[in-house]
This record gives sequence, structure tokens and C-alpha cells, in this order.
Amino acid sequence: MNALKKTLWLAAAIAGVALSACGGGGNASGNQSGNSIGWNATPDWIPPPNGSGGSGNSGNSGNATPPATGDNTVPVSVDASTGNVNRLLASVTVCVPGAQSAQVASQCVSVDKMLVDTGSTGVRIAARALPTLARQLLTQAGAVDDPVGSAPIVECMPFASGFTWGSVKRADITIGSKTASNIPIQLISDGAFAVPDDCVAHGGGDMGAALDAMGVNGILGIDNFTSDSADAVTTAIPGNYYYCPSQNRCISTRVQASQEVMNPVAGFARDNNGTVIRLPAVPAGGQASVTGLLVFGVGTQPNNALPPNATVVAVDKYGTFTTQYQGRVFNRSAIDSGTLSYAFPDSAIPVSAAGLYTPTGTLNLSATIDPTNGKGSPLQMPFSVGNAASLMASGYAAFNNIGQYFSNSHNNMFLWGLPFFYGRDVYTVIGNAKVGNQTGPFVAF
Amino acid sequence: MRFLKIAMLAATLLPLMSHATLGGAPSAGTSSAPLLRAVPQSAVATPAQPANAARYSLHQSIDANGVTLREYVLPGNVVFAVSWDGPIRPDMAALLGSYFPNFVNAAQSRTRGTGPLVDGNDDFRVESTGRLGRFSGMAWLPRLMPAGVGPGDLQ
Repeated sequence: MNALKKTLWLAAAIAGVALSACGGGGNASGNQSGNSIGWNATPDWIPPPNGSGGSGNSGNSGNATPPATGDNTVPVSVDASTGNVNRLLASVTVCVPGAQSAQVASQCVSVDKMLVDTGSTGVRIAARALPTLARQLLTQAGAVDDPVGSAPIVECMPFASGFTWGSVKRADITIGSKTASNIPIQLISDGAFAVPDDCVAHGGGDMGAALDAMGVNGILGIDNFTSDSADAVTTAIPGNYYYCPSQNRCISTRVQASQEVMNPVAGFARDNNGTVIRLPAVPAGGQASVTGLLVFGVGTQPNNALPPNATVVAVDKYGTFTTQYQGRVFNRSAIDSGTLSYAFPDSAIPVSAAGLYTPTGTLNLSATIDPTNGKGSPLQMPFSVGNAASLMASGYAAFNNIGQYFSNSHNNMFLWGLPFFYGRDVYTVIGNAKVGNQTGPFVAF
Repeated sequence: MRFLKIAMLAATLLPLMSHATLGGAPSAGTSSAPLLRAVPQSAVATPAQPANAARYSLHQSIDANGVTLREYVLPGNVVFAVSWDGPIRPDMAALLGSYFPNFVNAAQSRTRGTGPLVDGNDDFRVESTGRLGRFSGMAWLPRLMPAGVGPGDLQ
């Protein structure tokens, strides 16, 4: 199955290059997969004939070698294979660093069903997806508090619902046509080191098993940041990074940013300042499956231009901004492809046992997001919340109207999850990257 | 095997820690005096309460890692809810006590991916969110919630 996917990927890449050579570069990436995309893939970035649409290249240096077009995308999809709705998936190729070519079978493995997550940082792959490759990957060592300097660095990565535990390795990660060379990744549940007690105490449940149950092979964390833990650079925080001199002994440690699990986009040579996720709209009753695009770079190629009328929302160091709903202020709001719902508190809406909203009829709601690029008025964002139970009974996987109840009032959290992404282009800009006259980190749509 | 290890861990840590445990006594030496709080009227109609009805008290502390811990305590000195907010998740085994395995199972038993955790049953409910650098959440015991108080009312 992996060989077939690799062949298709190669064919798609070749087709993309051929199309752009014919001068139709703007169109190439929209159709490069060669599969029928059930939505109008005509891109809206093609400049009008009189050439006045120059804003599409506002982020382009203009003096560099003309960038290849269409080489910076990878298909993403939503389907029922995970047993969950609204799980955005992509494939990556993992190679031993310095492998001569992605074609050397023994040094590279294609891994599908990676969760595309704009809410976390870094590539995390279940060790079971790399049964023979894992041991060939380079070990990340040299933790700041390791007196000897050669002990492997192992991470307990906390998520909202639990943690992933596993060695930090270095690999070449190829997504679509773009490669991040020799970057730190996490090998989830590799079993090399016993889980430390404080990793369990602070982390809760080991998510490795949950990922297995979903049939998900890993997490592709492509958020607004380059390395995953700012705090670990200065503090040996409990339940995060460890150096492990032996199988049963792991010690919390500070690590350098360059040793931390890394956003692969930041590791590309070009088109490395962020991403665009482009998903088609879905009908109110949902859709069995969806195919879209993950585009690398913002304002670096014709296919990733930030439109002049885009809403730009700056995010803080936690990736959050402010949303207002029903007069309440949520200053820990985020747009997050890794969340399957709109997650927000509204005690007036009926809730299922699973905590999903189940109104009798679809509710048309609205919340307000404050753009931060000086464009003036706050933006009213309409969104729909349908009856999750009846929607999901269809067996479909893609819904733009799943809502989740979250009661904790002082979390101040309002999450715009994957439902927000359907029918939109969502831009995620990394760190202090400049796109035109905007400076990151920001999200835009 | 893992469940046993977690239960043993919880049992080991409990007597060593002088802080709140869900379902147990509130911590000694919290930084603020208990606040007598009236039950606020929520958006859903609830019976109006006298201004000084002491349904529960709030104890707040900040742990060694800078995590703000809130304990919601019944008049009988039983913690019926806890919340946390800080740069890391606190020691959940110590905070949740005998309910820690529920928290663990919530992560492992259902396919959640990387989004927020909202889970539980009539005995124990938890909401947990966050990412590296900031974690927050709340856990409560529905059967012990004072009448007319919902989790969203706990400030």
C-alpha cells in the first residue's frame, strides 16, 4: 500500500512540474493529484489580465530566483477511517538523514494517516509505523543538564487529553515535494525507555494507545511556532524533556531549541514561513469524505498569496487570540485543525452524553473575532451548530456544524476547530515571519 | 498492569502531599482565606439565592511550578471540584487522588486526537485543555455539586 502511494505521489509531482513548464503554473497545484477533486479547484490567485492583481505577490522578494510553482502542496483528506469525524489526514515520507535519495527503499518509509494539527508543534510518528527504519534514525542527545552529553533525549509531550512518550530522533521529513532535513521528531511509544512517574502524573493518559485505536500513525504539528517548548529552554519542567542514561532512568532536563521537536515547515529550505489549508465547503448534512490541499509557504508563491482582503488575526505565544460570544470574552481562542468541533460554552444548547451539542434544529450562531491588522471593525463570524448525534448517524466524516460543550468558565476558551476550515483558506504564519506588511505569528482567512 | 501502576502511584503520592485532593479534604495552608460565595444566576434560569448563601468556599493556591490551583469545598470540608491553570499541568495524580485513573482512562479509551478533553460520567467529570506552555482544566464530582451550581458557575 505504501509503494502504491509513493508511485502516485511521484506521478503527481511529475505531472505538477510538467504543467508548470507549460506556463499554467497557477493551475498546476490545484489539479496535480490527478484525482478528481469534487470541488471547483480554479484558484483565485491568478492575476487579472490587466495585471492589477499584483497584491498576490506581496510577500515575494521579487529578486530571488523565480520559485518553482506547484511543488509546495500535498493532498489532505477527511474520511471515516479513523472512526472519528473531522480528522484531517496527510502522508509524509520519513528517511534516514542524509539518505542519498527518497527512492532508496531501505532508508525511507512512507507514513500515511498523519493528523494535520495546526494546534501543536512537531512531527510525531508511532514507532510501529517505522518498524525497521526507527533504529537507523539518528539519536538526539546533548541535553543541557546532561553532564556526560551522550544520553538520548526523550520527550513526554503533553496534549490537552494526555501525553505521547518517546525518543527524540532526527530524520528527513518529506511532505509532498518538500523536505526538512535532519530535524528532530518524536518516535511515539518506541518502548526504549520506561515512562517516568512524573510524566504520568502530569501527563495523565498515554495517547499512544488511542492513536493505535484510531488507526492514526502520528501527528503533523504545523502551528505558528518552530520548536515545541519555549519553557524547556530555560527550565527543566516536570513531565516534558528528559535525558535517559539507561532504560529505567530518565531525568528532567532543559534542552536547546535546536534539540526540540520541530515544526517541519520551518525546516524547509523555502516556503517555510507558514502554511495554507484549503478545504472545500461541505453541505449542511455533512459529506462522506473530503479532499483538499495543504500548501507550504505564505506569500512565497502564486498559490499561497495572502489576499488583500484577508482577515488577519495575530496570536500570542500560546497561539491564541480573542473571540467574543454572547457578550462573553474568550481570550484563549484558537483556530485549530486538530479539534473536531466548535468548542465553546453555551448552557442553553442541549448536550449529548458525549458532550456534543444536540439542538433539535440547526442553530445559526455568531461570534466576533477582532482582526489585528488595523483593518477596522471586529468581524462577525457566523457558524452553524447542528445535532451532532443525528449528523454522525449518517456515517459521514466531514461536518461543518459539529459543536462541543465546554463549561469551564475561566478557561476563556473558544475553539474554532476543523468545521471552520471547510470552504475557507486558512493561513498559519510562523514566528516573526513577514508577509507583505504583516508580521507573524498570525492566522488569517 | 498500567492501571495497577497508576493506582499504586496515586496511593504512594497521596500521604506525602498536603494539598487538595478531589473528594477529600482541602489543602492546608492555602494562600487565601475561604471565600463565601453566593450562587450566581446563570443564563439558564435557576432559583435566586440569598446574597450570602454559603454553598461552597473557594481555596486558591499556586504550586511550585506556578500552577494556580482552585479547590471548591463543601461546608463539610470536602473538595467537590478542582481547577488548574498554569504553564504545565499540575501533578494530576495528587490533585485527583482516587479519580486519577478516570483521567487516565479518558485519554486512553476514546479516540480524541489532539483536541480538548471533555469526558466523564455521573461520578466524575473532567475538562482539560491546553498546549505546551499553558494548560488548564477542571474536574468535578457531579454527585457532590451543591444544588443549583453547575460547573460553568465555578469562578
